[in-house]
Amino acid sequence: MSHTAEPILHIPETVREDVLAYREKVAAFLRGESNPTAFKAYRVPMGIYEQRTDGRFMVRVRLGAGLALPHQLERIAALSRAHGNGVLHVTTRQDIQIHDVPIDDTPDVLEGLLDAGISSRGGGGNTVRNVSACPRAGFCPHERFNVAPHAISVAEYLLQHRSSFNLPRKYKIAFSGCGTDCALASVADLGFFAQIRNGVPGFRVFAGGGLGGNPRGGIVLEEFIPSAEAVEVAEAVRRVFDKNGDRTNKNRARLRYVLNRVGEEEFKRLYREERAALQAEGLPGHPPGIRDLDLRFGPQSSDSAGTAHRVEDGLSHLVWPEKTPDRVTLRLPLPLGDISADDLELIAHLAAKHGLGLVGATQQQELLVYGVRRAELPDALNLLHETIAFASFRKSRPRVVACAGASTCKLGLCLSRGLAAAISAEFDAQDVAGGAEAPVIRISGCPNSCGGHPIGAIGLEGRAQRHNGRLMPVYVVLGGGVVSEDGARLAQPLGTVPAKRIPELLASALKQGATGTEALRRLVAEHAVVPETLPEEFYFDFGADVPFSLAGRGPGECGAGVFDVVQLDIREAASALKSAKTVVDDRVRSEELYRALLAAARSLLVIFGVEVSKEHLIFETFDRELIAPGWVSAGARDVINEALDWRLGGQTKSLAHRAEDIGALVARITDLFGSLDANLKFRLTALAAEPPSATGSNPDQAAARADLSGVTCPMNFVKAKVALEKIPVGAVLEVVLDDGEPIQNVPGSLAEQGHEVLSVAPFEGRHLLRVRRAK
Amino acid sequence: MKLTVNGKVTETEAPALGEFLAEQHVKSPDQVSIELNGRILRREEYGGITLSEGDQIEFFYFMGGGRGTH
Amino acid sequence: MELTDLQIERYSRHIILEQVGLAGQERLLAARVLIVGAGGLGSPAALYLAAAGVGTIGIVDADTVDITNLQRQIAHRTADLGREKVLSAAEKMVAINPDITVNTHRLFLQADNITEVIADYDFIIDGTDNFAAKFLINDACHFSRKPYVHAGILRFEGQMLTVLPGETACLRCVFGGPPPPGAVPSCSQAGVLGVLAGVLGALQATEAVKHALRQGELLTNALLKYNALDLSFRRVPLRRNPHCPLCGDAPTIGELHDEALPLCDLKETRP
Repeated sequence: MSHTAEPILHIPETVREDVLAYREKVAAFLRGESNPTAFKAYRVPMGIYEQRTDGRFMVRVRLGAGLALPHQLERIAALSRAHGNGVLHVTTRQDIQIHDVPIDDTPDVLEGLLDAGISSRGGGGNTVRNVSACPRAGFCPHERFNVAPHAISVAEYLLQHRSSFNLPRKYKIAFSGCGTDCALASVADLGFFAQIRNGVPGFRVFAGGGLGGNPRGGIVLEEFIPSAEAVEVAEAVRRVFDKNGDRTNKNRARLRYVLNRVGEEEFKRLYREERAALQAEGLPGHPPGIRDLDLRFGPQSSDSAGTAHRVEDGLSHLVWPEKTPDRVTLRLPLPLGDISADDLELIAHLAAKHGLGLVGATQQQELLVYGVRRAELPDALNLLHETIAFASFRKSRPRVVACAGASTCKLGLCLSRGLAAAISAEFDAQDVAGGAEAPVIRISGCPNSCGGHPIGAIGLEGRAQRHNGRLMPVYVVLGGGVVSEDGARLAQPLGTVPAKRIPELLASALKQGATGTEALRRLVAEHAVVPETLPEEFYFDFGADVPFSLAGRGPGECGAGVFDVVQLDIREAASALKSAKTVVDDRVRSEELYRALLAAARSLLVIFGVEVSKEHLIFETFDRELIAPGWVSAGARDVINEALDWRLGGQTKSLAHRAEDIGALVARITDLFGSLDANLKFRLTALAAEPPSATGSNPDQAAARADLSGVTCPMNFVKAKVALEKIPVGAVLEVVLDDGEPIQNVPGSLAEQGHEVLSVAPFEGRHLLRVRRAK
Repeated sequence: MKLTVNGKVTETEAPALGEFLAEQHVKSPDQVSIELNGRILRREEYGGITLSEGDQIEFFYFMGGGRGTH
Repeated sequence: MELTDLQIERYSRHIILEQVGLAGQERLLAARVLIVGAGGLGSPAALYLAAAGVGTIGIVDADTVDITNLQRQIAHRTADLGREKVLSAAEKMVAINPDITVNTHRLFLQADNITEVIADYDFIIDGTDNFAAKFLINDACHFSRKPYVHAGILRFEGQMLTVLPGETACLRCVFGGPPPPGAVPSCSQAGVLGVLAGVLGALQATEAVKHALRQGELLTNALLKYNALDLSFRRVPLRRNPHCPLCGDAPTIGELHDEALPLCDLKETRP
């Protein structure tokens, strides 16, 4: 069967021009005429990412609404074989990635794609990313109407504007065809849910959702818009984002931070303002029409209606019903989203021969072949037998979705793909059944939720923990995440389990049916308990042959995993200091002081990407990274030298006289840690750069300030107390308080607890309280 | 004779601790520790203690944690 | 240790207290408390200490949850029947407060392992149900100089005593040693008002929190007697006993040993 070669998503002329100009940009770069940073800024929005392996690149091909034609897949397969490693990767946003392409080959790949009517433009960077849709749009018996044409139309509209490639951060749009939210619209920057109101097809619209660091569900932006307005809404939200997104801080640039910053009401007002302007001016550019995909790929005349064919034993999980009884969708679960070029070609062939000539990529990293004739199902399945991946297709297992993980991502803490493989192996070993009811397991290698763990029925978030002084990969297990047209509910953390115990935990959970939050919580608690001594393998991540370490990890979107590890050490230092104060025996006291010093010195090293375990190396590195640049006073060197001397049985017989110095060092380290920003830079100034007066505790130097506007009683009092305890005794704190209850209560309460209230004065419509810490 | 037993004033005719224990239904001295006027008595002393008006007696019983089964 | 905003909110009702504040809450988070027994006394103690943000809580118990436990051992639910008590309790504790670390010790404390277990903790709560364990804890805390709080319950009455070893009166100062087998009809001591365990366990937790905060006065050199029927609390002053076999002037106990258990105890704690 042959269909016209007309692509699903029509590539706008501007994109075509940019792709064709790319070859010269690469050439200029290779000639050394442009610097790597400038070239990267050009390359990434083109959907081309550098891999961890030097000199190799990944090209992310966007598929409109996740749909591709057989000849397009064949082209992708051929390009991968010719220029890459012959393995394709289906992403959770319905793209297909070609890996291991040398930079010189990238223009050939881009032009080869363009020739087949597809493109990677906007596959990465601060751009309008792939506009995704229900993976079964047009075929799902439950959908309200086919949302794919609307997703495509929005994508075609936004892609034609070059401004769509220079946004504050990425802009992800999704369309769901019913309330089940297979497209994850409730956690997208902009999400559309199909609704039919009084016979009019339209959408309920969500905005400001997002996974990544600080995930949140979107808010309802519009209860209902007629479907024809989707493009205008997408453009209006793009403008709100463009004007209000924080370009200065990549980590707080996504649309949800605009929403968090201005609040829901103001966010909606900004949106309505943009819409009004668009309605007054008209949409700029060429608003594309809605091309009826149902007409093109929809129910054909039944050619073999009514013939029921038995699906081969054990393969029924590969077959999904469609709206028309004589056709089905073939569902091919790809392990970790990977598929060989040969298999991809074979599937393209299968779609052309037995289906409607249309293939879809799903958010769960599957490929779908639509409209396979029931009558031809045995032939189609026979063809599948020839794929390399058949062994994994034939097994019905719960879906495991993972981010790329630490192997290719600089932010990742844990090797999430290694874990995913281990989970699948455990499911095989224990014969854990999949099926439509089985929960989807979502794995992210770090707190940035690229694997979508906050919306997993079961989510796993990679972390690092110290155990017996060594780092151990662990996962926070989350449960109960839900997406729907009533909004998303993010999964709740249930406990932290060593990575090596996760596969067994999940197999037990699924076999016992213990996947509800409470039942899962119990299982997690059992697996969370860690005995004193653990087998050696617990300190190795999956597929790693060296012990788990954080060395070389860069600052993440929030660096949260790194923060955890630093905190563990600081806690240890504090507890050692504390016990040094209580013990009587001088030898024990010295041991505790040494332990405090060592933990304090080690704590911040991970943020410099250093992971050392030998004690003298810890101190050496500490000296280099923290003492030499002036973050810690140079006096720390004497303390360390004496401590090492004591440790090695030298002249120093006790560290008791250094208790105060070590306490001060721990305090300084704690302060430095508290001042880390999202880029893992200290906000405190280095001592060397500090004016001498700032180090003293001149009480009138003052000016620590706590802005407690909007904070109600008694939290304002709590926060004022916390702020007071952070300044030295005798220093002054300024507290901004609201009128009414706050100003009536907080000064008196602070005075009652012995602090000296110096003044209360009107301040920008509020009150400014000055109080001196008394004890 | 009035004694203060476990904080309560108690009237007794028992002249000595041994008789008083019997009156209080303490079957075996092993069941109880006794503080007399602020001093813990050794068990072997119980037989030889005579009581006087106003003595303060405190009984301490062995207490476990509440048995569950059986 | 820097508290997050969420932690500041979680512990706000502590932080408001003048005697606690941020520093006090940080002390709690740095504190390490061991609860021996995840039963009637241990349950409320464990839940309150978890809620309070005691950073590291150890819990020791070798038993599994039995239907007769549920009348008073509030860390366990009907659905937990047959599960290890330490896991059942740890799960509830972490559910209340994911900030804390719970170490579970599924074992029966004996002379040869108790020193090692208590070594990691700053304060011990005796929530055991048998005399052998109670005296073993008393002795081990003495030798390791660990402060601990004893409690016992019987029918409608409870008692409690906090011991700073070497400084204040210990359990052996009062009782000398466990009753000889048969002297106390331990098999008939099964009756106990469930809520009694809650009152005493919560009081033990109070001592642990005060110790971590270094606030107030511990219940030392005094034995608290509680009678639920007339709802009376009495604090009976004690002194260290010069005849105490453990901490007296001429001690006879120089090392740890396991006391004999009455038959009923044997059946229950060593299934």
